[in-house]
Amino acid sequence: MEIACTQDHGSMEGRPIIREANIQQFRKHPDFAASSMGIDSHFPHDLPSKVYNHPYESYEKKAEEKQKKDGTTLYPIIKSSVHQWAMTIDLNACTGCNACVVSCQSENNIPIVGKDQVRRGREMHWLRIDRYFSAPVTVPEGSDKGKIRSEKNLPADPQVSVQPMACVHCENAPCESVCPVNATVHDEEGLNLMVYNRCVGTRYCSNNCPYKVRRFNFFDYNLRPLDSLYDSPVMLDKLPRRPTDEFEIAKLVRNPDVSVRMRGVMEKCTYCIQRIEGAKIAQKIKAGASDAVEVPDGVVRTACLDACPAEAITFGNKLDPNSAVSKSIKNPRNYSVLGYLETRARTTYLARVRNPNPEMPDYQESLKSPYTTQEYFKTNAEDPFGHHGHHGDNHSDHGHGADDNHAKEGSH
Amino acid sequence: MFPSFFATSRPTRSGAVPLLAKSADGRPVKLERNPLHPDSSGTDAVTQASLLDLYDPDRLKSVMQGSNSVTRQAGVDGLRSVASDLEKSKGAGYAFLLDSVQSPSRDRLIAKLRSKYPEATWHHYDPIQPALDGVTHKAFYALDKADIIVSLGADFLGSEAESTRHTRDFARGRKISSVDDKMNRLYVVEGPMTITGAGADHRLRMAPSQIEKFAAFLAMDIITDKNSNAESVLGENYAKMVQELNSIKSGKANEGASTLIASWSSWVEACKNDILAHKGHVVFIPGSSQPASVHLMCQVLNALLGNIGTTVHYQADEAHNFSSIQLLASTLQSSSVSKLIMIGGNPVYNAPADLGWADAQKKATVIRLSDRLDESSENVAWSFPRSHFLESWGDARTADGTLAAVQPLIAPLYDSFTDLEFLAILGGENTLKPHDIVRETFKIVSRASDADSAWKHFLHDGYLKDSFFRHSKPDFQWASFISEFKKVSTLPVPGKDNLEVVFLPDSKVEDGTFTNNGWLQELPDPITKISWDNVILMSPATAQALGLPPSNHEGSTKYNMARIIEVEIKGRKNLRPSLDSKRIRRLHSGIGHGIRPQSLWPGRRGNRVLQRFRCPHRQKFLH
Repeated sequence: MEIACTQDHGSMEGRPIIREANIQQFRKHPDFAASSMGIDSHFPHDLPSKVYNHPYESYEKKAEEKQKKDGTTLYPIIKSSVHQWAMTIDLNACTGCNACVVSCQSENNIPIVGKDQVRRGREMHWLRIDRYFSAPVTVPEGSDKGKIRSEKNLPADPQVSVQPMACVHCENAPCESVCPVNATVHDEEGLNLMVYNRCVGTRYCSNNCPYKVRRFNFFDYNLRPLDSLYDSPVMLDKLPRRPTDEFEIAKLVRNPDVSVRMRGVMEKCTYCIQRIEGAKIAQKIKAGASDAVEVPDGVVRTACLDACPAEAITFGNKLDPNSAVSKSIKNPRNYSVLGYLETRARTTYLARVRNPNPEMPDYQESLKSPYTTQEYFKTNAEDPFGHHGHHGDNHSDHGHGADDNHAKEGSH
Repeated sequence: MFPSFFATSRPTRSGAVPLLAKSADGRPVKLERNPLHPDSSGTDAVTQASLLDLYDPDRLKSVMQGSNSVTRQAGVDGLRSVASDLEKSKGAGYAFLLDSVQSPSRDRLIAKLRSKYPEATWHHYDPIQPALDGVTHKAFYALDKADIIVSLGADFLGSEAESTRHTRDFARGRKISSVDDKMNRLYVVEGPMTITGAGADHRLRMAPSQIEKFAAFLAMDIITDKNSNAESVLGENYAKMVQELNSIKSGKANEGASTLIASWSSWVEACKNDILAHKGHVVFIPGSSQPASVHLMCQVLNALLGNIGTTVHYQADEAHNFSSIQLLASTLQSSSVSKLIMIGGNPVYNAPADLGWADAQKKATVIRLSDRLDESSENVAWSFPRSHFLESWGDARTADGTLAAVQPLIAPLYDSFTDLEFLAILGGENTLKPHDIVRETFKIVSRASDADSAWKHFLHDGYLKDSFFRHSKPDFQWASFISEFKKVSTLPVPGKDNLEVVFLPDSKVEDGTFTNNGWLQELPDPITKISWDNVILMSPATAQALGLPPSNHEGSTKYNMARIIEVEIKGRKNLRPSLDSKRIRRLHSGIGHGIRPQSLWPGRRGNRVLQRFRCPHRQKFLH
């Protein structure tokens, strides 16, 4: 019998997607997540060449040059100096309760696709919560390095880590550079936009998205009964249908502030752009002739943020140094998922810190680390907390945590 | 037209979620937390999805007399004749079965009905939060004040009541930003992995039936430690308490208990020392499915360690002295009750199989207020459509006791009745409009001199200021605790030949209430990530011990294939898909998803659309 399950694989395989430390390690290395885990902790933060174009920088440079030369420019200055939106998600607070997922579905008119489509991996949730299991590393040193556990050897007492994942609004967005029709572009406030009317459904963007957060509308989920998805339009009229008034009732749930997408179009998290624009308009009305157009901190509450009982999500203007999100970005636990791709994600995560009691029998005397971190040691042969015993030969001068400036060491 | 926002709240089993509902073109389109409410703590997935229920085309739309749909007026007349019959007989031969709703107005009307019809019997059934005999106090946790949290089978961040407030307070104790920040520590003892277990700093896995022994072990270790001051608090009851706890701990005559207990000793020892080092800032939370003894042990420990008043508050449980559904089933079988009035609930679907509820219900003439035609609607004399909270006037109390407003965002879509209307007609009241009933209650509760302006404020803010409960120190009667402990007969230690089956509330559809909600059905379970389906989960070790071939859930070419296994519980057989799970050791199963213990895949009457429209593949699954 086939089961619809949205996450088949439960292990991070030692990759630093969710970064964790025990509190004892955090106290010694508070910025362990950004400065000593992942490939990105080893290379300079301003790479000379980049894989993906940064829309602001490439345009701005040209615009500035032109401006300098003859005082005018055809290149618009596209970076807003009023708002630059950003989000942080605190993995120490998030429990994985799913409130944000449904709130997002309700706010953004995300269709229900049915079990068959979920089984084919076509669920439309813009926001998903990844769940990973991890096990203590018990494999003797030197043997079978990459393989943490096998199918036959599932852990009896795993640790569980969860991570909400939606579009992270990369500044250097991999999706944008591959779209042949310019359907996904950056706006001046740092949002990675989807222009539904331009999208022709090549799905290149989704293939190039390292976070796998884009959702393709394969069928008219919003228009057709789920058991007629595969029927031809000719057949549709001949099939037994629900009375039209019932369909009309079901439609009432839709939020009129968000467009209902049609088939063949890519969609994804918009940072609730309708709420951002609403707040901006309200602020402009308030500002009148003055230039106080900056939306005060805390006014834009995305649907996920508003629903979150753990207050794990922070959203706001990162140009305002006093905004909650600016403060959150300065939290030493802050890091970027897949930061080594230099995507410069606007959504960053605050690493999880566990608080084990060292006297407890399950506290790992040998490694004293959360299981995901142990898996990371094992796979990458490096210990971000500078303990001995798990260093690879080439890494003996790495991984000493906060005190070291990895930026000086160059990339691997 | 700009959207506008109105304060309302969604009544839940244990309280209410204060909300701000967004209204566009005169209909609600989104639910948000009410930022004005003093106890506002976000929302949960079910609350968010409850919006979709309002527009569910499968709702019961008109009054049904038998299988004929009749006008609303005919329904009202029908209820009036029941009311006059009730009046004549003083309620003799009548029984009421209610679901859990915390509404002062509903409580007021029920109290009136009870005094008017003293011969009628009143019953209450909640499959998720069963009432426990011997537990006289309700707990209210303030987890933000706790340094150490010990959960004894409680999924307080997930399926338990008040999970949003618990999540908020728990998370506040963990958002560290500098090396000097303090962080709380969570110990969890549980069976199946829950999101509380996933958030634990230390998790001890055991069969839920064995948590009672574990709790007694921990309690005894703490009480007998000289740092706990137990002797001075418990006084003359000290020795007896220790004796009873010791006897529960040792598992009375359970086979294999001593080995099990020995395996916990180093865990308990280290945990105890940590707890005693944080006296006054610890909290013990019992799971709602745990027996009364575990709840009482937590009360003893919270009292001894001086946690009461900081991390936990207790309050006498003002139960309305409702009888159980078990008693109702037996009176129905003996035909001493011939008329049954049901408000909410779906007991044919979710009452314990042992009761044989479906047969018992057939013996009576049933009048039912329900939001849809479901399993319990079979052979019902009258079915009245129940209003959704977004189209109702009502009131509720959040768990802290604050009076919360329930106000409609739209006129009723169908010929539905609110609980208040229904009860008022049955009680022969003069005030029948739910709005007026709620205002009357408000007048009594608020005692405001300027009732009109207070009412307007109430509706604007969505709550009544300063109406929260004042907590006082509970007067625990230790002697009665000891007599409760004496009654305990501990459950056997499960093994390969006596598996323990755990029925859990589903993380999405709860006890089946939300089965028709596509948002919730499609939502992946927080731990298994299974959407739409329900499976029996067992650990790979259990599967191996039972000689089941390894499931190819992970690591093989064909993902997501589950075996169908047959489970027999007390002679009742059921075929179910099963998956090896990393998360648990023993069989467990959600109670929400269309699974009835009584029979094998019955045909459903009410969920026609669920099969054809929202969930076409369910049909395949069923037949």
